[in-house]
Amino acid sequence: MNRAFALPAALVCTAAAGFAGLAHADTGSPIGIGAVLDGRYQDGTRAFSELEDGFGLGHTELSFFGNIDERFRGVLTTVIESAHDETELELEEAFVEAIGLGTGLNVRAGRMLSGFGYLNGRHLHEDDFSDRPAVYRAYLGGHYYDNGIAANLVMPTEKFFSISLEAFDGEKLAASGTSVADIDTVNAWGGQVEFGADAGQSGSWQVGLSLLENDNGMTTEHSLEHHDEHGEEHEDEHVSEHEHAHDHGPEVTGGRLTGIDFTWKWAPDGNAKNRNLTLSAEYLRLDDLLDETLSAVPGAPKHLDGWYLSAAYQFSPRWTVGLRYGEVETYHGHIHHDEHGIEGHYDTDETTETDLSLAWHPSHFSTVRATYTRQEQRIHGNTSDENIFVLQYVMSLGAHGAHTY
Amino acid sequence: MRNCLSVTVVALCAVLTTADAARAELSVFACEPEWKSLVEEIGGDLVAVYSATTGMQDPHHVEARPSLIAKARTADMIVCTGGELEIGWLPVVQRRSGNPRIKGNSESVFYAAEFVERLEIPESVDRSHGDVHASGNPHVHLDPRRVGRIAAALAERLQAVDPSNAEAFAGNWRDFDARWRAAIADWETRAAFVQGARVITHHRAWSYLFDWLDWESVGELEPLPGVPPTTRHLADLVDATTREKPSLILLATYQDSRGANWLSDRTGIPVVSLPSTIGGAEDAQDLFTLFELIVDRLVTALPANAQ
Repeated sequence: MNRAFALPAALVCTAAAGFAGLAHADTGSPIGIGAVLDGRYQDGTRAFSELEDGFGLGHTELSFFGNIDERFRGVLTTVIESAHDETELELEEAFVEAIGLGTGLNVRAGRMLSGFGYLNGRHLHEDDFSDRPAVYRAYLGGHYYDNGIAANLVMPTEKFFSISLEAFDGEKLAASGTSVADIDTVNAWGGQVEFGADAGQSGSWQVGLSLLENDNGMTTEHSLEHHDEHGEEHEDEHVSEHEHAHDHGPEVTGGRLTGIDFTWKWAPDGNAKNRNLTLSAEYLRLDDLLDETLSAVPGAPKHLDGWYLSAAYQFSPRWTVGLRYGEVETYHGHIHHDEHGIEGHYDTDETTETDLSLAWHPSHFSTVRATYTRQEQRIHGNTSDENIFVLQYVMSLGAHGAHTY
Repeated sequence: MRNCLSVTVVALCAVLTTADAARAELSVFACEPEWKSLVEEIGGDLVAVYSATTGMQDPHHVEARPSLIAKARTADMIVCTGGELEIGWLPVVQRRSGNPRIKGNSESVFYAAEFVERLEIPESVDRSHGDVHASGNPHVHLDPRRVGRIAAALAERLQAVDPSNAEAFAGNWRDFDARWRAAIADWETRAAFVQGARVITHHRAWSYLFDWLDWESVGELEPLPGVPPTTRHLADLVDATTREKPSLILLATYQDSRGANWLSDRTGIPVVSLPSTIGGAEDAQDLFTLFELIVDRLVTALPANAQ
């Protein structure tokens, strides 16, 4: 413990020590304590989202982080969500990370965000829009975090090249209706490969490939027994956590989720203070949706996919404008399952979203953002649309971990 | 699957070991170009230095880019300003790179600001005061006397990190120190006639330069450190200039010049744009040419306005 206190003064910089530097205290003082306050007014209802019309609190984070000793670092992030007189406390991160292993290796154990894709490993408060893209909400429940273990290796190469492997409990990714007894102890695993480099003095880029194998993601004939003919789950003590009204599980699941992401950032001379542009695009594909029996049902989808393309342009030190377009495929079934076998059909649905956001950020710690979303859905061959408007603040109090790329 | 995995692991290990063994010279990750230049002065051919930022970038606002993580991954040593200047990005680079040589309080971690007396250490720190660093103003490299002291500490540190080349480092430092002292004397003589000048700056980045030249800053374009100029604050500054009679408005080449030009148009006070470090202007190629250029631009701008 004394060791931690004896660190050089210049390193000691977090909230506890009266931190007020650029923002992101992350080293030195024994613990960083920070809160992110996210409040919003929403008009309209978004697909695959729990946030509803009216005043609400988005993603209020309370986090503690710091070095445990020279070998370990710890992070604890709790998320408080409040809607309809109900306040829900979620543990988003509670992990220890071995940071002294050397040779580019870091290992995390505990509860953590999966490193899938570009967005999943990031906290929601870092986003340029009020909600995650529809494809993330439908396939990952917005952002997927779970109990497990992850290792990341940065290669000693000239250009950035990193390999990650992760294994999770995975219960929250199980197909709806999967009985708890069927769930393997390690049910989701995967990894990422990332490459990146600078493009001149003004630009930089990163490309990532991601895989998430979900052993209980496939919907089976057996799991269907817990559904009625419209694919709605029965109240049943055997069904997984998906039952829960505030569950953060995905809308659709499959045995394998793969993704490719690309990010490109630009700032004049690499100086991001006054102006900068971030372009990012991701494509996600969900495979192994239905078992052999269900795949034979008319209209059964073989795979689903979704993508988004977003641009965020900070055009002055205080203002950022964002534009995003995305599409995602989901499916639903009208299946009768009885002693005579299976009858019915599946439909593939499509959701498209166009988001436009304008954020005012008078300092590094405060943002007030308006996001307008035009959402169009095609379900049963019928199209419907929705205009969603969100006015929100995202503000950070106390210590704040430095953001990743 | 399992075979494939073990082949990959073996291949990875091969890459790791060859890359570590193949490097002869000391690989140094410098956060800012001034420290790159200083390491090169003392390390000579025995070091390979990469600078994470350029003179056209605000070192507070740098992204923890993939390229920085890759460079930090293979570095033997890190040389940064410290004092919270790089707090927005360096911790991520240090952690993600998984390289214990460049983090914690190991010998191969060198924070320049720790070796000199710092100015403007706040009595209390609060976010409502803006971008204030608890350990004082971190822009220490703009006082050449302090740079001299940092050079001595860096030379000692390089000798400790790479004892096999200790003699060469000591020799290079003695050579640098002699040239540096002579250069300081020359700059001081040239700037002597403008002693006591009063200046308005964009950001509180020049305090150490003024400490050296015995100048006085009478206001900043930023209402609070790190907070961009507002129209109201600029209007207040117009009034302040009639009282304080500053002779220059000073900003770094990477800073937005709109606020400075606005004030200059209304008050007639000339704007001087200076490289805040190496690479901030074409001619500022190392520590010597940086100060050469700064002194030159200041004495050229001042005669007509000097008090």
